[in-house]
Amino acid sequence: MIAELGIAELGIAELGHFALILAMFVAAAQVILPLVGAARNYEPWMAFGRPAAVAQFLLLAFAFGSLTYSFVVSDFSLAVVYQNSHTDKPLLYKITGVWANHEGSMLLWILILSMFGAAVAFFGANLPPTLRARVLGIQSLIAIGFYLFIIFTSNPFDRIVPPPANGAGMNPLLQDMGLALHPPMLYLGYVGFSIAFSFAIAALLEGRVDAAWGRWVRPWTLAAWAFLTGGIALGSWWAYYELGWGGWWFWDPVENASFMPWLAGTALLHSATMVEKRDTMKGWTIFLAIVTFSLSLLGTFLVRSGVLTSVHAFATDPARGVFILILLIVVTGGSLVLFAMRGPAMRNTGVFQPVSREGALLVNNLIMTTAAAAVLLGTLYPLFLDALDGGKVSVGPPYFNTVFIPLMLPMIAAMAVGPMLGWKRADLGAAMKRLWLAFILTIVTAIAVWAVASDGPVLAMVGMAMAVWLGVSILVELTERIRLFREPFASSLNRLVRTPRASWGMTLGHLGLAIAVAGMAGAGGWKQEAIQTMAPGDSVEVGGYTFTFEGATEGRGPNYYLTQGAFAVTREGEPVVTLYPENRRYPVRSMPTTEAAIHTMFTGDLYAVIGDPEGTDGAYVTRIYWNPLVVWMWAGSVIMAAAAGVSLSDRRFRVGVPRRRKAPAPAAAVKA
Amino acid sequence: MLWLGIAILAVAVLIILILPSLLHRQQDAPPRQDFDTAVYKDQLAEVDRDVGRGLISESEAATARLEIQRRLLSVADVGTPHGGTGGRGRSIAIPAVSLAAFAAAVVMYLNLGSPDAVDFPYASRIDLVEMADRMAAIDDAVATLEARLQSNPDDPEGWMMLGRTYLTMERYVDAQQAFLKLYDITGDILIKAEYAEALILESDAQVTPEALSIFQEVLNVEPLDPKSRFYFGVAAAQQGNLDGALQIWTDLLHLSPTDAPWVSIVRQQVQRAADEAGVDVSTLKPTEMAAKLAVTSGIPSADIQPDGMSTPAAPGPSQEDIENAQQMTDDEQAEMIRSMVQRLADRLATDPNDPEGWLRLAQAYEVLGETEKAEEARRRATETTP
Repeated sequence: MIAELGIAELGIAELGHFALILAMFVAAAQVILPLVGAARNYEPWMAFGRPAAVAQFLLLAFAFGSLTYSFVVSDFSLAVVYQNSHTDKPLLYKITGVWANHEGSMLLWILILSMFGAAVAFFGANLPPTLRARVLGIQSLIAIGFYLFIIFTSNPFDRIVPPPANGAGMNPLLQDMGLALHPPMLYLGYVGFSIAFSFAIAALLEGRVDAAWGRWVRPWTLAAWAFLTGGIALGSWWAYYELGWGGWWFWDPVENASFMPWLAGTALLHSATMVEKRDTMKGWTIFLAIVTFSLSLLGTFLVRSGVLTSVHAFATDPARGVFILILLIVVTGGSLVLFAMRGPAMRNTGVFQPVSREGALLVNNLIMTTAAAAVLLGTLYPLFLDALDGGKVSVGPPYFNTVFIPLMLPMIAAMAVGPMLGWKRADLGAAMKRLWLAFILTIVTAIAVWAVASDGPVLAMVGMAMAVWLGVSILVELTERIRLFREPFASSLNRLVRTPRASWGMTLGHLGLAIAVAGMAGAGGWKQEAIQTMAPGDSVEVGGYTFTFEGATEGRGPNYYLTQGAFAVTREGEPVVTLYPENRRYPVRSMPTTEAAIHTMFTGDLYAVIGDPEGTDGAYVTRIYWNPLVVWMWAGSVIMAAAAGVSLSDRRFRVGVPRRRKAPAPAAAVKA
Repeated sequence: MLWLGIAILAVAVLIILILPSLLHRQQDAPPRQDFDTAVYKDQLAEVDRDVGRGLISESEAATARLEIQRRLLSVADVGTPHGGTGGRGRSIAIPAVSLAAFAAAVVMYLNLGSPDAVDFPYASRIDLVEMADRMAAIDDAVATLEARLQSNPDDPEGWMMLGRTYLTMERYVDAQQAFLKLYDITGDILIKAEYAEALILESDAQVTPEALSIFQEVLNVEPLDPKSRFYFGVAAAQQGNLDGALQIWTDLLHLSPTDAPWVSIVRQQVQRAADEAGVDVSTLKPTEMAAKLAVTSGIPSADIQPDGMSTPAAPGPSQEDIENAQQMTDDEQAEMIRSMVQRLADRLATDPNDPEGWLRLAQAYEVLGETEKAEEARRRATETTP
């Protein structure tokens, strides 16, 4: 039978293994030739970086494809397929199962790393050859660390002889579309910052960071930031609907691991603007690029080493944890040493007053990095204490909320003013005067919220007020920019249409945050929940809605058994919707999952969960939640990610390649 | 086939790596400052655009222009030496490094990979197909047997076969039903041991009290039944009484013919338990009771050591006794057991402070069917236990 399928004899998986190893050596060549070539200014060697990056990416794509093939045909002679798949699994989850495990996800990590490298090779024609060669060399150097990690500690092509009859199945929590997309998206973000990092190191090697560098590095930062924003939002959305507790952010170390690079990356995004526009804050921007990618690596280390589950899990597989830790130390330590050596030589030519656009961006940077440091402290402190046998402590939401929220309030307050300020020097009083409308509406909102929900937490009121403050100020800034009401409407419309995409990006991004803040304040402050045992016919009122339990039925899905409950929801006697939450049990892993039933409305989500049966009269434990405005948070996140995309499409990132010429003519540049 | 694939990959990769360097050999890229200049020129154009849109005032634009022009000037200052083309040593570097990368990959792959391994797509796994065929054949046979027993339930062999088959298929509850049915038909007490074994398998190999009482019932009638004795030992081991388990299994071996099919399994079990308890297997001796039983049943015992017989711990029958016993009639054998039991009883009468002795006596009476005396002996055993 094997002979009939000629493909089986080929050994696709083995070919994938070879491709992975060959990719590592191509990466080594991509480090040596371009870096040496750039140092000696030898063009063919520098140029080698581009085909090497493309070859590396193609080889990894082949390796990843062959692993995917092994998952699809359920080749249990591969250990990773045996441990994470099962023939009963739907095809879709066989495919997503490729990266829903340690080995496969690391292969995806490095595939994305090489994809960014290939993207630099492909779109980087406008980069000076030495800079491009160095960026590709550094990018490849990072990759080699991960190749060694994968090949020697987490090889997805390891075999089991003889192959078992069937697989051990996949964690049912992971058999979900949201989570299938979450890791690739998150990795695109994490790994995307490797390009900003490579640009930073390349600039240090090059010995020059200038406004042009700021412009070259910015699109990559924007892309990484957009993916990371999307990835975090997806993860939080998944936690919201799959874990069945009605919550969307738990300050869990895994969440923090992705949030820290986001905070640092947001700071980087803003400081890179200063380098580009004003040729200033160069050293700081380089430092942020190093820190952001280091935090990405730290996140990978925390999630992948097993440190988070417990320090003892780390001890059971020390090879992996120690490897990433060493990599982290080498990358971060090495780049900081380089920064310490070369950083002081960077001269900032642009000067500015404290009250200016630059000043506002600095406030952003200061707060964002402080927030990242606070999250880092709260995430690592329990780990250190545990590792030193200082006992178990849990740093939970109380710490993070106490530290994080007071940091974000002044930032949002300043965010409204920043875009009103001009470069170099600005008049704060004048900017504040232009925000009178936003100020009044903020006070009105606070009073209105107080009147409607005086029993709610103060923080929810403050949050709503801040969201209005930010949202209105953005609209004020936009109307002023297009001179709405001051010039004929057609003229304003014309200005609106001709607004550069980068400005749109800023406006939309900040607006997205305002919407997300409103969602967080609403869902965080006014969430209502009821946990009880309900027999068929029982009703419970949550958030002004009446949930009537209509009983539950048993059934089965493709690879699970399920209990499905039915809740008729009414408001003031009018039917709203019927919710069908499920409780699934997967026999292969003998693990239950909850499938919450969620009805999303503009004002909030109706959220029902069915638990275990209680007694014999058809009663079940049920959890009902009312999550006001929660969807605003994800809508805001999507807008923010999309805004980065809009900014990315700005025409200034499509500056052409200078034409080749026979002899250098610096004089021409002066005349221009 | 694998090496063909590797060859194709290699050729493709080497073409990608080497070909561009051959095609673009002597072309010069524009110098570094041209790239910076391109950006700054665009920045100047951007300032003009912003003025055109009314985004910035003319005075702001003027300072911005000044700043950008200053940058343009500083770029002109830097000036990079023009890219060198190098000698022949350098130009063969790219093909050389590319080939070296490929060679290194082959070496590493040979060390880490499994070049002989093929893919095992689930759909074309011969081993699984055969397994499935076997399972289907068993299913068919079971169905046929079930149908036959439906129409002709008075078929002890059929029920036995069905019960055993259910056991191998891990259908323990069905197996229990089949054995109960078989017991109803035959009244053979040994079938109850089969039933009890199915109970144990159903409860994840835990010897349940229910199963244990059935084995006791069986042993009362068939004191030699190996299955019952074996599970008694398992029960003792599961309760943490490894010494007790070892004793029971040692007795079992002593009561088993050397060539009995279970002997090797029990020996392994003894070895494992002895290792765990830290006991030297050569010190294990069957109880007096077992020794006597072995004699009366005329069993060429298996014992712990594969070769040779161990000496009973308690003063037991001599070789002569055994030979005599083998030639005795059933009545004579019963008489001999009785006399041995009497000897034990007499000894205990003079030296009553021996709980183990009382226990052995109780077991002996149980074997002889003298329940009242057995209970009395058991009571004395409890009394004398310190």
